[in-house]
Amino acid sequence: MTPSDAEAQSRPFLTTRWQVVLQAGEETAAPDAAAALEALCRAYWPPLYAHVRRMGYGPEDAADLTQAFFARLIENRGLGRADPARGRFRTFLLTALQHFVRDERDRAMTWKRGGRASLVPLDVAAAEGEYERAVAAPGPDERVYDRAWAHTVLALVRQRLLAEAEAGGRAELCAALLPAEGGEPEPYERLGARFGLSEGAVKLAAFRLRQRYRELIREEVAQTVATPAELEEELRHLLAVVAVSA
Amino acid sequence: MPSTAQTACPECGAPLPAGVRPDFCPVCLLREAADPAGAAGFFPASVRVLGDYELLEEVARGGMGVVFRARQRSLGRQVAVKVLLGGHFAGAEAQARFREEAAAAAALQHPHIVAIHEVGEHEGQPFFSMDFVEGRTLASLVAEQGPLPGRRAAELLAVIARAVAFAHDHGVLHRDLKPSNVLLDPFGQPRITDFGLAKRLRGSSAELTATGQALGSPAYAAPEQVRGRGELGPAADVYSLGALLYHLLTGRPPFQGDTLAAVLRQVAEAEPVSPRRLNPSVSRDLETICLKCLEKEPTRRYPDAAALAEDLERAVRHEPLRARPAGPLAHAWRWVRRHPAVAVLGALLGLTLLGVAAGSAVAAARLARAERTAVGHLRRALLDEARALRLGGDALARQAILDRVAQAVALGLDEAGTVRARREAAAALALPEVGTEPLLDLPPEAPFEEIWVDLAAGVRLEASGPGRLRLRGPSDSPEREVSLGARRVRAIEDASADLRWAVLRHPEGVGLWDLAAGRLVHETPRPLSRAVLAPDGGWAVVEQADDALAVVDLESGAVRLEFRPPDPSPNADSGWLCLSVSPDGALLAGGRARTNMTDLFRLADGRRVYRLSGGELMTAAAWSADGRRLATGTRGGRIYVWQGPDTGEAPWRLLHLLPTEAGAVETLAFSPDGRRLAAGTSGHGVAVFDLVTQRRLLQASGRARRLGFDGPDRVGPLLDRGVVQALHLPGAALAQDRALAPVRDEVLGIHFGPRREAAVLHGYARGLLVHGRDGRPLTPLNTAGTRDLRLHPAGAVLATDQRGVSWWPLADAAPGALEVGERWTLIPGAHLHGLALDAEGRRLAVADARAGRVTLYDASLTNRLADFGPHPGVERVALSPDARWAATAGPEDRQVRVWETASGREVFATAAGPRPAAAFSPDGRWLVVTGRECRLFSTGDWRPTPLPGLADATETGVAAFAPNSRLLAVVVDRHDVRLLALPGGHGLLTLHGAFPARITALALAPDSASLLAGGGEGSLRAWRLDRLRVALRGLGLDWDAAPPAAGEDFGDLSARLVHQPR
Repeated sequence: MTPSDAEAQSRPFLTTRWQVVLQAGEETAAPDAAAALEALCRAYWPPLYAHVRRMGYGPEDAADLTQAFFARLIENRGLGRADPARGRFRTFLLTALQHFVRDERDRAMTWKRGGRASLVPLDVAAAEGEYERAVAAPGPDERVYDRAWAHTVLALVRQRLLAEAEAGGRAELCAALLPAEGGEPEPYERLGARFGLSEGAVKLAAFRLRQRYRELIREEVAQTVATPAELEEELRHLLAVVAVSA
Repeated sequence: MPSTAQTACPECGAPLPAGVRPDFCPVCLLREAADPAGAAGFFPASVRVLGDYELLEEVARGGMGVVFRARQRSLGRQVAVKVLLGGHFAGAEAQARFREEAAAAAALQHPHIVAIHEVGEHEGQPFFSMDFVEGRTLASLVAEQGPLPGRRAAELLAVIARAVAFAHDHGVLHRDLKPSNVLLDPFGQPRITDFGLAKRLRGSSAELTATGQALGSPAYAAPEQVRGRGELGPAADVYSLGALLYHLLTGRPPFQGDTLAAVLRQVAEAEPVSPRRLNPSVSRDLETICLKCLEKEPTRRYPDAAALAEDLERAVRHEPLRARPAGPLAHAWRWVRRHPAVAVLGALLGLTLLGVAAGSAVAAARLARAERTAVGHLRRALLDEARALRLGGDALARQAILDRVAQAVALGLDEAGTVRARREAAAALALPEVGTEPLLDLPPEAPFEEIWVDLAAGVRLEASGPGRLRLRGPSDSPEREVSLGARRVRAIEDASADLRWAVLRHPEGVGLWDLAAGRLVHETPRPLSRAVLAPDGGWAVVEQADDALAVVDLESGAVRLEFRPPDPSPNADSGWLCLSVSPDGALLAGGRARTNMTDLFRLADGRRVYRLSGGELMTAAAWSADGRRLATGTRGGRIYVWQGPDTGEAPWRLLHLLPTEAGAVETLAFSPDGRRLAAGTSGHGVAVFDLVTQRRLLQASGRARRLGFDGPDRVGPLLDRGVVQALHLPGAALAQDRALAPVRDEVLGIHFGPRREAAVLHGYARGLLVHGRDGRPLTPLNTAGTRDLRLHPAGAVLATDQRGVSWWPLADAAPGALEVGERWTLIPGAHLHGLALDAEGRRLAVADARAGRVTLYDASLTNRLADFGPHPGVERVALSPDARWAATAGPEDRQVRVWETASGREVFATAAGPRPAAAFSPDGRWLVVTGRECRLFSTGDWRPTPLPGLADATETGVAAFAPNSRLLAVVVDRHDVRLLALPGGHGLLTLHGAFPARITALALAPDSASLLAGGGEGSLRAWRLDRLRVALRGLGLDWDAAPPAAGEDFGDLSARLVHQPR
């Protein structure tokens, strides 16, 4: 392996958010751990919501429970027990949620609406769509959480691509190349006509976007793991979730 | 046609989410991101050199590798370099073989084969260099332009086949011919890439095989290739050439499915849909050629690629083909192949006669041996055929499956064969019995458009002559005729149930008629306008110019309201494709040409309140009787079912997407109970779906313009071979499916009471009582946060929730109904989870998850007898019938532990895996432990007992004992239930599951007459084991000599359910 190779592989690991959060669990807390955790939670709550829904709670209860879970996690050091052996953010979050829901059941629904500040803004309608989609997708139903997770990763990457394009002044073309789900992709030829480009230029743009898409998938997933080996494992796991539905 | 091609990624075959471009297929992107040799890892951005090659840019990426445009430094020429990703050689032998093949492929110099220059390796990654071809692949051509004209497809494929034949002559197979492996150069000439290379590599791990290789392009691979057995020959490439031709002609591969498994199954077992059905412009000759290539049996295809090329060239020149279309002889041969039993029996008979004639003892012995072998093959073939029919999932196959099973039984079956035969029989018996009922004969020349049949109202309208309409029914009213003056009827579009009003299409336009008075109330002078009557009568919605819609009062003919969508189509020719008024008359659903959305309008003021997107033009819409659901159908044959809001008009959510054959959906209808949906499509007949299981119940041939149900079981009319018919689909007598609406939670537990009711724990928060025979919900148990529940023999529900253990007395409110009395808390406690009762209900065990302990109570259910533990996180508990033993299980340590209740001593522990659970048999002899796998232990010595009946199951789930302890029911492979005999553990029967969701709970009724299986998404299936056994006995497949207890009205059930073998 060449030096630049090694560098490429280890680069994301100097700053992954999940590492920051894990370190916060130890005695010497990193100052920005809470922010890192909040950022992760903000990004990854749709799969949690989907999981709570699948456990049998209605949309409102599920939103409340998810909200309360994050509140607990962020407010009162829900990560006090975090240790690096706990693995990836995805599996950690699921386990923590399962414990939380069981405890909350015991608490006779104290999380019922009202009284608690919303720390993480939840778009319930969107999350509900995510849940419906994960439930409707082929494959074993206990994978709802993982399916929603994989889809959330792709959605986050799409948002980042759009944001990057915005910064580069190519927002419209990017949005046309990556229509929102359920939208209708315009043929490249028509796009070219619309943007005053040749069809070849549009294809080239799509090709570059696709390359960037791949890079960002790795970057995004890297934020939720602590080691390079875990990154590869996590990527393969997500692939298996979306690909193997038989 | 191209619309169907859009649904799957042309690269990996995975279904694409709506609106996502194939270039951004999530599966491909993730695969590439996951590949350590992908963009982020293998090639550092600065140094892109591979041996003699300088990599300039990535030009393509697929499941097997990345293709770079590169410069060969020594020769200074432009080449393409393909680096095979993630693959390495499975061993030295494989490597040597790859090199040998690569050398042979590199020797292929042909104008239509992309020449390979060099095969090498870079840090263990194999790569090869080849000509750089500017151009596009056939896959992208078809994806963008749709099917090619027949002549162009034939010419292209002839050239490709010639090139393949050339390679075959040089001993090289391609093995992976598909549209994305054929490039079109700037002159439109095809060039084949990847000859004999990619498929020689093995994946580096099982995972890679699953995600990388198997996801290649099974849709184009020959059946023998998919099965992965034996050496491949040129016939495999001939098959793929046929698949390629099929794709060029129809815009899609011969087989498609939602999952890889579905595609593989079809490749192995199904006949492709005829190309002419997908694209009527395909000539018969090309269809014949295409289907000959796609024969399952390699010897029935063209002998080689050259013969295929010749026939294609003949087709282009309009000369007679060598291949014959499936004529009578071929049909007979296919019939023989599909009905091997009869055919082989005939052949055997011939042999036997020959043996007798020869009169030789040796010959007779040889014949006897041959006969035994042949009969063995035959039995297997019959059961395979039954299985294939079952996988088709069509209710019309019911009788055919039972026929095959009966024939196999008649040949004599061994134990394994009997278990298989029972499974197929049980699956067939669980299908509804479908029949057709002729309503009227039509003279051959009579157009279907001029007949209107309303099944529910029992009325009929017919155009009886120019300007005349005949009215029949309802039953007691006399037949009448109405004169329409000078107007001729082109089609009857709609009519009210009392036949007072009708919408008729005339050459002049669309008219609203008062049939009682013979009066034209309103006419729109646009012959293509749509119009629909409101369900409650009194008014109609009629399309006007420029997408405007008018609400017309029928009595006066006055326009009450005119409105148009906010985005009307400028072109007056385009207009509404479908209109449907909600049952309460409040909303109108409509689909327009030029938009892929369904618009929902409020009819009070014409305001558009919501839009439903569908990705394709909407050609049909129908409302459920309660107005809460809307079904829409598209031009490409997709059906969406939408769920409306609880209150108000929006938003609407997608509930189901139903699979159909291609062909525009022309009509849709919900059954009155909302359980079934019928769809008529152009060219593909009528499909009926069960919306609970989301399965297609049947596909019937014929034509339907406007379908309706007149009860849960009868739908029509459809026209088939000159007969207007209704379809009958009564519910299955043997299995009932329920959806525990409205939430789609997993069923976590099912527990029978002493009678026929069962308590169901539905999700983590709900309990309900259901009828133990058919699973219909009887009464909900309204408590928040139910954690576990049991039925007490004294007639009460015991349940744990966050307050503790509660007691709810039950009372028979009326025959067949149960009433739940006031609930009171028996044992308070915030953390109580699982509970269990002994056989008489005299002992109660309750698990406290927080304390990790179990407490045993006496007959009063309040006095503590014993307390044992710890079992951290214990959530479930089971008691032996005499309460001597208690088994505990919890998700924290994933163990099952057994305690002697008298001493509080732990006597046995075993790791069970996720979702650990345990149950004692009612006779106290056995303990079954489930979690990762199902294991049986004998109580006392806690020794494991083998269960040979599960040996072939790849995965086992939850288990339940029969009350007589002689049967153990176990979930196998997630969706099926296997019954094992005790003792011995031999398999008796597999009940094929109906739901897509996994089975998570099981229970057998106290009299063993029924079995309830619950699963994900709130699904519940009730099997009538008593009826099933009677039916199996009719087939000679029951497992006890003693007849099963005939609890009730069987009558001649056996004769009715089972068609006796001939």
